[in-house]
Order: sequence, then structure tokens, then C-alpha cells
Amino acid sequence: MRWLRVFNSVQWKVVVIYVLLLLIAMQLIGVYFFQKLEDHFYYTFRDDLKSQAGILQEVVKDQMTPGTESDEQKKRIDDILNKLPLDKSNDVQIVDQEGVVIATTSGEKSSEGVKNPRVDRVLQGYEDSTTEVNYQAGNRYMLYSYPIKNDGRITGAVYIEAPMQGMYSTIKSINKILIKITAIAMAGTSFLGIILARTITNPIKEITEQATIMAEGDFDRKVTVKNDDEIGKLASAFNHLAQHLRNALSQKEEEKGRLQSVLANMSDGVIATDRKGKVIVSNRRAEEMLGKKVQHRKDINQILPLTNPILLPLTEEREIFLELDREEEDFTIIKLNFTPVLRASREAIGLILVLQDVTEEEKLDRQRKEFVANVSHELRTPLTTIKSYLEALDEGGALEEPELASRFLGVTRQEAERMTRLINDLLQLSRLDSKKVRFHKQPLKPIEVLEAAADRFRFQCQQKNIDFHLSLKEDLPRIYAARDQIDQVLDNLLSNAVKYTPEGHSVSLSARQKADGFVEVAISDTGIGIPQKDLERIFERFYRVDKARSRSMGGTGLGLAIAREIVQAHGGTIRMESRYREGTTVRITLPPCEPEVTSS
Amino acid sequence: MKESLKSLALALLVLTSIVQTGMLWYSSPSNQGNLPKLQHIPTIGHKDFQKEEIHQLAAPSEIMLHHDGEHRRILPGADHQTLIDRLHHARLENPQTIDPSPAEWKKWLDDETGLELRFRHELPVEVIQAFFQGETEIPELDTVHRIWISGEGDNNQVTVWLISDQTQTVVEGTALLQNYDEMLKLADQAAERPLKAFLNGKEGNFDEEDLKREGAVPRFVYLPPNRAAINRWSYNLEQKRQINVEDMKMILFRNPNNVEKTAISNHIDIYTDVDSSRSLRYNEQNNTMVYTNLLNDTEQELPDPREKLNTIISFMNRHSGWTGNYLLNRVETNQDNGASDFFFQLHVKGLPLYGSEPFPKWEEIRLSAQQGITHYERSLIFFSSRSGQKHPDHLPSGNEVREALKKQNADLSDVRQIYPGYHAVTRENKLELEPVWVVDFYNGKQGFLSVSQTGRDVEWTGAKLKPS
Ligand SMILES: Nc1ncnc2c1ncn2[C@@H]1O[C@H](COP(=O)(O)OP(=O)(O)O)[C@@H](O)[C@H]1O
Ligand SMILES: [Mg+2]
Repeated sequence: MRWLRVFNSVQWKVVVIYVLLLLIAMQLIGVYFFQKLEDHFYYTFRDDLKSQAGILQEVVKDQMTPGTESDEQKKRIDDILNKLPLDKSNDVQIVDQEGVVIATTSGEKSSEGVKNPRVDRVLQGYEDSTTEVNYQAGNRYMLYSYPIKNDGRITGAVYIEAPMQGMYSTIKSINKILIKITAIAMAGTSFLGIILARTITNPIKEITEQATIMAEGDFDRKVTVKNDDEIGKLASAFNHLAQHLRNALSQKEEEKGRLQSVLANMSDGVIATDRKGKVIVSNRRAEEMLGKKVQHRKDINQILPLTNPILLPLTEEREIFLELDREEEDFTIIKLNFTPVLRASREAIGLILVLQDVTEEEKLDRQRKEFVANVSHELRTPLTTIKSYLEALDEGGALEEPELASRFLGVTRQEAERMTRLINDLLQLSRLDSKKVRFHKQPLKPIEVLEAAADRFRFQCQQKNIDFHLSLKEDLPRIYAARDQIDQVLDNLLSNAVKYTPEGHSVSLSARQKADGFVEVAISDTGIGIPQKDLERIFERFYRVDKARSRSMGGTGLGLAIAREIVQAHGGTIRMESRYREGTTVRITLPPCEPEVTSS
Repeated sequence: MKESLKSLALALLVLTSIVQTGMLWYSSPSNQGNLPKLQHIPTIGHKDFQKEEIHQLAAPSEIMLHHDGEHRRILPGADHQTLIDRLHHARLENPQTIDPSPAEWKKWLDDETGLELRFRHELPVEVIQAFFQGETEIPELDTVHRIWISGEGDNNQVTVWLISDQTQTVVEGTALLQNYDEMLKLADQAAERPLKAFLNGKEGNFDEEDLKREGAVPRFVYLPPNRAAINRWSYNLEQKRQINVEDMKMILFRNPNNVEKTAISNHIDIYTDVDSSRSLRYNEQNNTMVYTNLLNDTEQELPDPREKLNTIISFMNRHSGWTGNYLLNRVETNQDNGASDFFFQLHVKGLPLYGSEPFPKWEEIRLSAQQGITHYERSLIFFSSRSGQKHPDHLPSGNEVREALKKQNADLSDVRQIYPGYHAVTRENKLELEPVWVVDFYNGKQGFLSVSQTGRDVEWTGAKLKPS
């Protein structure tokens, strides 16, 4: 089989086909030609013998008697044979009716008196003449028999044995010429075939080479287009293809890069899997969200810590929320959005998972729910108190005892006031939330504001035996703020300080200008302080460290929240620093009225 | 794999096409095997027995030399042949019918010198014509039984009588015989001892009345006065020669390779050639063969008997078919096809042979010819004449013959002819040829008279003659 591989090229195939075509053509021609030639020679040869035999027959027939011949007749026939100018290479025999040779031209007379059965059919009158070809001692002979007729009766036969090698050597020499021509033509054809095949195969070879190089990624190659025939067209088509591939590939690269950057920069995590759930694409955000590496070819169910693994293949969209508790308190909620990738035939070939961090929303939602719960709780508490006192008044006959009744009414009023306060606070907050509050902002002198506030609380402090300090810098810039709101903020903060500072301790109010020009107001006390864990959430609505104490002191839990809203609405900040059982400091900053002046 | 298989198949196809083309180009008709070879015709007998001309083959079994009332027999042999050949040089002239008177017959028997050619049967006149030169027309004769040549020999002129015993017709002509005297001298030397002539059982001294009673043509019977010495021959049976039927096949068929053999019974095979016009029936038991060629038989125009005889001569000579000295005995017209059947009888030591008991048909060959041989019937057994041993013996005397005939309730008047012959019998693993008188009766029966083994009596074998 190995040698066959040599011919397994177009070049050799073309040559072999050419040679075979020629060979077949020459064979067909040769066989036909030689058959015709041989036939022609053969029939000519035979006709020659026939005419010889005919002449002989004419001459001899009168000497032939029906039956067997006498010696005299034999002699006469012999004489005739000797006189006639016959071809000496042929052996002519005159055969009588019994098939016995009575005269012959061959030198030795041994064949005379011998029976020649070859003329049998002619003697029987079945055939006019018979021809047979005999092959003996390497030579061919034509054996020709011709009847001798006398008055329509066959009285004998002429039999000629003629060597045919002359004829066959002629044919053979023609044969040799044809074979030579065939050989030369075949050599020429092979040569031409090689050249022809080369003109076809060389460009193809070049294209093949270029295609191999292209397959390795180099698209900048070009095939030389030599002419405009089919191969030239193939070459130019190849070049065109290369060009297109180049463009398509760079486009694809661009798109891929774009997609990658989209994926990488998405706020959502994306994971794509095949139909078996093996990861094929993921982005960094997904890893961040899940807090682990997303390995390719890994099962999606192993990656996602789901209690119920998703069933694959997925045919419908699904939404799952996943809560990840990385640390205590700090949780993350991820929304997993599974979308199947479907073919036109509705067959799932994979799925795309989009991860969304919905922690913030969830928190807000919770806060909202908590807020509603808080509001209702806060509202119900005074209402319950009011209701129970009113019932007590109604039932217990407390009205008869005016002292008790006035005390009961006092409590009732107190609770109602608290409710009013609460509702006021809530209304204010809601107004702040919906930005409905119109601030009548105006430049204010912080000293005035602060001193007025200090004046409002000085009495309280004295009553509670709290040392109150007010330290204000003289050159504080004016602030651009609404007086009522700032007053409210200061009231809230100062009331807190007083409220949560036991007797004998101190409260101070100070103000200074910060380096950035903002005015910082600090309200500090040496009160009960706030535990570290509550500090973060202290600005949340209704958040109180000690709910019972706060309530007993008439707090609503909304003061800090309102303060923060107002300060932030003014473009300032509010901060709380506190140490449990040591004291608390609240600092607010407010923007100055004239920023250019504050540059110093 | 499939591809390479295809390539391989293609290569094979191409190769075979080349090979076949080559074979076609260099092929030669190889019908050498079928081509029949030239066949030498086997010869079976000895050249000595070949007859070249009709008068040799149709030569009479006896020539009677008549001289001064003496009658001496010349049997076939060298001199006999010489005489016939001499006669053949003569031309028969002026043949005309004559009616000889009894006186002339008496004169002929008693005084004249001449040679009488006595044939065993009447032969066609054309055959008799062949004894002479030329084609002289012979009037009023269809067959001839005897030729009588007489004369003084003046200027070698002789008178020739052609006698038909059957029609009692005599035609007289003349002929010139070169050296007639020498011929007579030769005949005188060759002739045996004188015989006595008998006519109707009467011995010698016939008067005109005797001759007249006999009819227009008297028929004489010649017998010796005493016992005639003659040899008896015996042949060892193991010396018999057998002609191979395969040889016969070779001889008789144009293309012996095309001959089919059919066994029609245990001992009879028939050989036929392809067109079935020729057939050879071989009887293995009897060692006889019958060959017929129907194609040659269908000729309309019957040729001259001379042509037929010539054909027979050429045919027999070609294969040396004469295995002994065969002479024409009779010509019969075949009842079936009207053809002439020629019967040739074997002559041993000048005498005809009879008695085919050991080997059927061996004493006679039957041939017919038209354009070619149409019938050939013979025994395939023969003996070389040289292998015989001779023993002196005798033929019965004339009186003994007459006595014997009396015992058979017959006499010489019932006898058409009496002549010496041999009768073949097998004895103790030997073939004995006994000298006998062959007695042909007018009624067609035949008997043999011989001296008995004791030498005292005469033995009669053959037909029991019914007393007439
Ligand atoms: N100066 C402070 N010292 C200690 N605890 C404080 C101080 N200010 C506020 N707090 C804590 O913050 C909580 C929220 O205060 P706030 O919003 O003013 O509500 P209220 O004063 O109505 O309770 C209070 O319940 C209290 O526990
Ligand atoms: Mg408060």
C-alpha cells in the first residue's frame, strides 16, 4: 500500500489517468486496426490461393476421372504441375476423389499416395473451399482446399499449403511501429501531464500552505493570483475569504472585549452555564458577591449554597433569594435570577444566572417595616395609658375624689401631649422626607442662636443640678440657615444631653470654625453615654438605647433622626461620639454664610 | 482502505487489458490438434499380386491348348499371363456372327491348333473387349464365356471366335498376333498333360450327330485319363495373417479421424463417417468386412464395366488389396440396386480355392464400383503363399469322376464344367488345401471330388445332387 501513496497526489493521478487514457485508446485502436489489417492480409492471401487453385482446377480437371486415377493420369497431372509457374514456397497437392494425393509440387514425392483428410469436406461438396490455419514448427500455414469439378461433379481437390510467415512478419513490423509510437506518445503524454498537473497543483499547493498558516492564526497572508482561470478565481476567493476572516475575527475580538468589560463592570454578577450546569462564563462581580472563586467547568449547584439545588435543565425563569451571613449582624442578600437559554425548538442549551445584591433594599424595607411597627407601638402606648386612666376614672368613681381625678387627668393630658409630640415629630419627619419643608434660610449669627438655646436650658440644668457650660468663639462666621429648624436641632440635642445626664454632671455647648470654614457646634455631656454597638444605629428613627428610660423621660426616639435630617438639609453633618457611662458628644457642622470670608 | 482497494482493482484491470491485448496480438490459431494429419494408406497385401490391367485381372482360370486332337490345360501362372498379355496386343477386326456347323465343331476339336480361353462364367462383352486393343464393336453379344483363337499363323493372322454358351452365339473376327508361333511354343511348354474331351458324358470320337444334339455350341468337358499328380498344400493356422480393421478404416474413409464406431452386436461393429455415406461393417467373429459407399452408388449413368474394373484395379492397388492371386470369377447384377457385383476368386498355385468353412468368404472378394467403389466385401484373413508345405497328391481320373457322378445319380451330361481346384479344410491345427475336381452342374449346384486319404477311393463333398 505504501507505493500507492506516491500516486496519491493530483499530479500523479493526472499523469496516470492521461497515460491510461492513451493506453486504452491505443489498445482499442491497435486491436481494431490489427484485426482489420490481419483480416485484410488474410483475405488477400486467401484470394491469391483461391485464384491459384482456380487456375489449377481448370487445367487439371480434364485429367481427373471420377474414381481413382491410373498412373498415366498421375504422370500427366505431375507434368502440368511442373510446368505451371507456381509459387515454390507453397506446397500444392492434387487430391483425388478418395482424398488421396496424386500429385504434389513438393520436392519429395513422399506425400503422393497419402490420404489427405483435410480436403474431406470439400470433396463431400459441403463447402466450396475451406481455409484453415495451422501452426507448426513456429510457422503458420494456410491450408486451402478447392474442389476440382468436372461437369458439376467433384472429382478431386486442389490443396495448397502456403506458409504465412511473410504476411505475419509484415504485420509484426507494423505492430512494432505502432508499439513504438504508443511508447513515444505515452512518454510525451506523461511529460505533458506532469507539466499540466503542475500548473494546476502548484497554485493549489500554495493555497494549501497559506491555509495551513492561516489555520495557525496568521491572516495577513496573501496568495498570488496568476491568472483569471478557475484556480486564479480560487486564489482570489481565498484572499477574499482571508480578508473577511480577518475582519470578522477582529470584530469578534472587539465584541468579546466589550462584552468582557460589560461583564466585568456590571454591578450584577453573571454566571452562564451549559445545559448540564457547568459554568462557562462568570464575572468578577459574581465572585465578589458569592465571596468565593467561581471556577469554570464547576457545577452551578456546588457554587451556589442553595438548600434545594436547582433542577437542570431549566426551562422557565426562576428567582431565588440567597442570604449570606458572612459575619454576625452584617448579612448580604442576593437575588438569583435564572434564565434558561433556549433554542428555537424550546430545548434548553444552558442558563444564565444574574446575581443582584439586594441587601440595601432589603434593609430599607426592614427599616420601613420596623418604622411602621415602631410608630404603631409608640402611638398605642400613650393611647393605652389614656384609655386605662379614662376607664379608671369612669369606673372607679375617681371623679368623686377630685385629687385623684386631677392626677388621673394630668396623666391623661401628659400622654396626649406625648402623642401630640410624637405625631408632630412624625409629621415633621415626613415633611422632611418628602422635601416639603420650606426652609426660611437666612444668615444667622451662631452666637445668637446658641446663646438663646443655652438660655432655654439653663433653668433646666439648674433644676437638675447640672453644670452647664457655654463656650463660644467670638469670631464665628454667620451661618446660612433657617432659625426655627436650627433651634429645633439644638433643642433636641441639648434636651438629650440634659436628659441622659444624671445630677451633678455637666453639659457643655461649644462652637468653633473648622479649617474648611464650616461652623462646628459640639454638645457634650458627661452622662450615661451610649454603648458602642448602639452608636451606629443611634440616628435611626425610634432607635433608643433604653426604651423604657427614654419613654419615661418623654422621648419619642425621633429627635436625633429629625436633627440629622435638618442638618443634612442644610448641607452640614452630624456626628456622635460617646463612651458608655462616661459621656457623649454630638458635633454638628453647618455651612458658613459667606464662604469667601471664611477662607482665612 | 476502500480507496486503495479501488486503485488495486484499477491496476489489475489495466494489467489484464494489457495482457489480453498482448495475447490478442500474438495469438495464433491453435487448431493444430483438430487438424487431421496426412495419412499414409496402409498396404495389406503383396505387390506381386497387383494387376495393372483388366485383361490381367479378368484372365481366365484356364487356357486350353488344342493341338492335333490333344487338349492340354494351362493354369494361371507366369506363362499363362504372358499368353494373355500377348493376346492383348492384338486388335480384333471384322467381328461378325457366324453359325458354325457340327462339322466345323468336329474339325475344331480334332484338327485345329489354337488356344481356348475358358472363363468360369459368362463375362460382359466389354470386359472381353479389354482383352484386345482398340474399341472394336462386337455385334449381337452381351456376354462371352470362351474365346477361341485358331489359325495356321500365316502372317500372324488368327481367327478369333467369341463364344457365348448361354446364348449359343458365336462371333468370328480376325486378329494379328505378333509371333503367334512363339506363343504356341510357349503354350506347348506351359501346358499340362493331355486330357480327354467329353461331350454329354461320351468320351472322344464324337460324330456329327453327337455335336448336333448338343445344340449350336457344344460344350466339352476335359478330364484326364488317369489320376493326375498334383500337390496338396498345408498351412499352419498360426501363420494366418489378419488385416487390422483400423487399417481398413484408414483405407476406406476419406477422413478416418471422423469415423464413428458403433457396436451393433457382440461381434459386429459399424464404422460410419460423418455424413454416413460410407460405412464399414466389421464382423469380428468371422473376420469379414463389408464396406459400402452409398454416395458413389447414386449415379444415374452406369459406366462401362471396363471403367468399373479400372476403378477397382486402382482402388485395390492403392492399398495392395489383393492378398493373393485373385481373378475375376463372375459378374452379377445386384438384385437390390441393379449394380454389377464383381466377384474375384483366390487362386492358389494356379487353382481356384473353394470351401470357406474355416474362414468365411476368404476365397472370394466382392467389389462393385460406380464412380468409386460402392461395395467391398472380403475376409480379413489371408495366408502368405510362401508359408505353405506341399505334399504330393492326386486328382481322380476321368473314370473315377464318372463313377463318382454315378454314385450321385448323375453323369457328365448334367455337368456344366469340371475343373481342378483346391478345397480348404482345417485338420489338426492346419489348413489343408486338398486338390479337387470342382463340378459345376447345370442346376447351379457345385460339388468337389477328391481322392480319399487312403488314396483308394474318390470322395464326394459339396452339393447332394438331386437325380434329375
Ligand atoms: N446626651 C446623651 N447622653 C446619653 N444618651 C443619649 C444622649 N442623647 C441621646 N441619647 C440616646 O439617644 C436616644 C435618642 O435620642 P432622641 O432621638 O433625642 O430621643 P429621646 O430623646 O426622645 O429619647 C435616646 O433615647 C438616648 O438613649
Ligand atoms: Mg431627644
